[in-house]
Amino acid sequence: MRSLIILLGLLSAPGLASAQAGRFLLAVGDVVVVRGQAEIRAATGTPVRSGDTIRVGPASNAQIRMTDESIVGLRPGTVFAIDAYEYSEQAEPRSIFSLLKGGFRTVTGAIGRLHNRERYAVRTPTATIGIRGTHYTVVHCDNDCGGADRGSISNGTYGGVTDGRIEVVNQTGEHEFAANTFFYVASAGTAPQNLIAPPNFLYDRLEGQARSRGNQGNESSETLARSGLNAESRSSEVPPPPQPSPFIVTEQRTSSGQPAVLAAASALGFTGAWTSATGDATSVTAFVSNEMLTRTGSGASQTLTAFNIPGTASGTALGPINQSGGFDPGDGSVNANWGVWAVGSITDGGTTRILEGAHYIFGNLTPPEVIATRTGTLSMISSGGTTPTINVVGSFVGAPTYPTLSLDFDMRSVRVGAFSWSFTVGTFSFPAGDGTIFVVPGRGAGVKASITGTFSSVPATAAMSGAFFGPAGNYLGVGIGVTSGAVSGQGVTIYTRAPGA
Amino acid sequence: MRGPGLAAVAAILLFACSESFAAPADELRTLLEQGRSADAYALGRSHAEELGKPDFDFYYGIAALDSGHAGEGVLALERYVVRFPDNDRARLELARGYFVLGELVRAREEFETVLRKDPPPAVQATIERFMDSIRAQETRYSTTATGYVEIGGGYDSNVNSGIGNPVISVPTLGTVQLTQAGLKSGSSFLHLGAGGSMSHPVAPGVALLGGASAEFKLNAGSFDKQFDLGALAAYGGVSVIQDKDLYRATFSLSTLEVDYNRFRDSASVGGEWHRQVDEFNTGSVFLQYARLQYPSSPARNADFYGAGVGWRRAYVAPMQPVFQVQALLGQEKNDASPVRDDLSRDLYTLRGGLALTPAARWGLSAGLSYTRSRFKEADPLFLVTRGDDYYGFDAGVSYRLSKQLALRGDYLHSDNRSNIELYKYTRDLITLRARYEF
Repeated sequence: MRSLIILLGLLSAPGLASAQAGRFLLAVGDVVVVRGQAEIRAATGTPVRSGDTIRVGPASNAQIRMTDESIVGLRPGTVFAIDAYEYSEQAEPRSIFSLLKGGFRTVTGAIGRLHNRERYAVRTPTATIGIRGTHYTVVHCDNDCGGADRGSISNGTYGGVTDGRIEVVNQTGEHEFAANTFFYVASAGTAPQNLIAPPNFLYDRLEGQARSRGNQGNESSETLARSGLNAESRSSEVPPPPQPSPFIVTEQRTSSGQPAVLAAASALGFTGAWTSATGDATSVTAFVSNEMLTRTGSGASQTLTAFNIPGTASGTALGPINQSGGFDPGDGSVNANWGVWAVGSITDGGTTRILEGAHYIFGNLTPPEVIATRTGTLSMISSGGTTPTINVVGSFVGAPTYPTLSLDFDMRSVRVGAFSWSFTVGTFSFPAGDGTIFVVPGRGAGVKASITGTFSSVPATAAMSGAFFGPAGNYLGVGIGVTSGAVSGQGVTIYTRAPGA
Repeated sequence: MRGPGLAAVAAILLFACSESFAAPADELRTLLEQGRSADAYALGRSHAEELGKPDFDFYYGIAALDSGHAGEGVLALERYVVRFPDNDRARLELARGYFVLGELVRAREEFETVLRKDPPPAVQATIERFMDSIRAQETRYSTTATGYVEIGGGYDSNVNSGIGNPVISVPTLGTVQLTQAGLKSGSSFLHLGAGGSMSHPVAPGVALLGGASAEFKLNAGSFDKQFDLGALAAYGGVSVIQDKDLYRATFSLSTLEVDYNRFRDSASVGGEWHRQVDEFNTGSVFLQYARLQYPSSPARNADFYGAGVGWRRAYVAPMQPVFQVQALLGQEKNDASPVRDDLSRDLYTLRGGLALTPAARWGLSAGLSYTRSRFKEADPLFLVTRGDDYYGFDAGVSYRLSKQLALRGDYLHSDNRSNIELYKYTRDLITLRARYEF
């Protein structure tokens, strides 16, 4: 087919003077090839030759494909001359054009890729353009670029580089423009100016289409939505730069540089005795920092109004605080305090419950290493505390009684003496039993025991736990919870050395 | 008149000959329907004699566009549109071609021409996306300003990135409890945001940039309000476009507030270089220095140095996938007094993401990220050198209700693994938000 085109082109040449340089891919409207004295009305396929001048009238468009595979799109009102064109094996290739009027867009071909101004050039009234790239647009204005919607446009040559680079040469020298740049040359003696933006008349608006209104072609519009390279793929949308880490609470540091979320060193021992959310009376012992307990008062005259011990329990008093009491040997080394919340909200085991009769005791904690290194035995007795309460209608009968304790530090054990609690609804009785002394390195030390007994002949259990108070570990704050079926009671007490111990 | 006469005969013969080879256009269409645009383009190149025939030009133009030869594609589609100006599909493809070439004025005109003909909603949505991108790119040529407001909410399973276990073992302290603030805490939250940016070209290819934003995350839980976050940021800079390269230098100030107290102030300078390799590929390199100051925790004050590379690849395929990868090397150098090198670290980050457009107005995205942090010295409390491995998975879906208003849902799962128990956390964050742009 290609050879046929060439052959036909040769046949159509006047006197076979020159070979076909290219052919029209598009000629809509008034498109004429001026060849010598002849004017040939162009149509798709019409060949062009070196020496031809192409004239594109108003509301007309044309495209020429040269034999080196370059394509030139000519806008309305253009006069474009093929001054010298050669692309064959017989001679050096060259492609010299003149833009006399109007403008064009071109994607260059094999000759353009030689990057040689002697081989490729476009002459305009103000400058000659050479190329180092593949795609650019040039418009020369001669009182024909302005208009009602464009205002007044200065005469001269305007250009824009889509891909690659072009050289603009005139009397002022050689100037190079890269892709995505735009320029204006006022005259042959004026240096090109860079333009921030492309002139709005630079790119052809294809006015030739006005001659084809009503033509829809064979291609359906049903698949319109298919169109669309992802709009986010453009280079102007760039990935965000790296950001510092977000807020991570455990990386917070105190003024001393320590992790802020570590609870302050345990300063207090806390024991609570209440009927837990699961129904049984319980005794909870924890080693806590000062800020975990919300208190009023000072020394041995403090009242606990709320507590928040992460991982253990939290609670708030919702009514009067009864039976407040305190103990200290007189030097402020123990400052044990106890009391009973008449009504309180306590969350333990993940469940919040409003309950009556929540007992607490807290005091200055014994350093755990003191208990860890202590040897021998110690007998202790209750020296104050709360009167036990019960979760059913009823009250304690008689004076509060708490069991004696015999501690063996060598064996880390505790012997709990027999004791009984009498309420108006019945009596809890427990025989002597055994428990343990425990030490948590870095935090504190305490005791715990579980003893089986009866409540008015019905099986019952007593849960006991406590924390050592004072610098030498000679005091214990203990809570006891007793349970038999749905009946439960609780109380707290301070233990001191038994006389003579 | 011999010449013209022969030329006319030749044209007739050419037309007749080419008519007998109508198959190439059909072959191109078949290949395009199979998503084989590169093969279609290659086939088209081998049938240069078909150029100029409308059907062939139409499919060849699309094949050239889709395979990265937008210049040829635009010329072919221009031929078709001049002949068949009422074919909206061709005009839309031509508009896309202008867009790809960066000829934004012409792209906008052609898109608007199609919009005026009231195309189906899906097409309108596609066009609006292009128009948004055109507006964004026009910052190169004209002074532009944009803004947004955002409102939304969601649920954060770990508002403070706290740990799950309230008691941890510290070699120097034994078993230690954490304050409640250090424990994982979940809460629903309200999201509010607003911002704006502007660009002002001052010379060919050179533009000044500026912007500011404010975003707030307000937790619903009374306990969690202490972790309400506020982020304020402002930046200014300059961008330079040369050929296929975009250079950008920025200076930015930001502050992160926690519970309305300044948690971290940062001042940073950054440089970026982006190269548009072709219509589908963009590579980038970036450098950053940031000064990080923690007013309430000065032991963490540090200098941050970062360098990274990125690559972005768009595919012409169903759902228009865009794939992006990023790699970052960073160093956070503590400069507290005294220096805490146990808080200095080297960071290595890898991130991969995929964005899809499953239907008009809809967007999907998903990403995976990994950050390896290795600290410089043993932590004085834990007696080991901290090492973290962060894994993140994110996914998002968006729906554009109108040109200005979009809805978006995001999910983020974070899993920070550390050789120190205190720094282990997991987090799930779900956010729904509406964004109005103007």
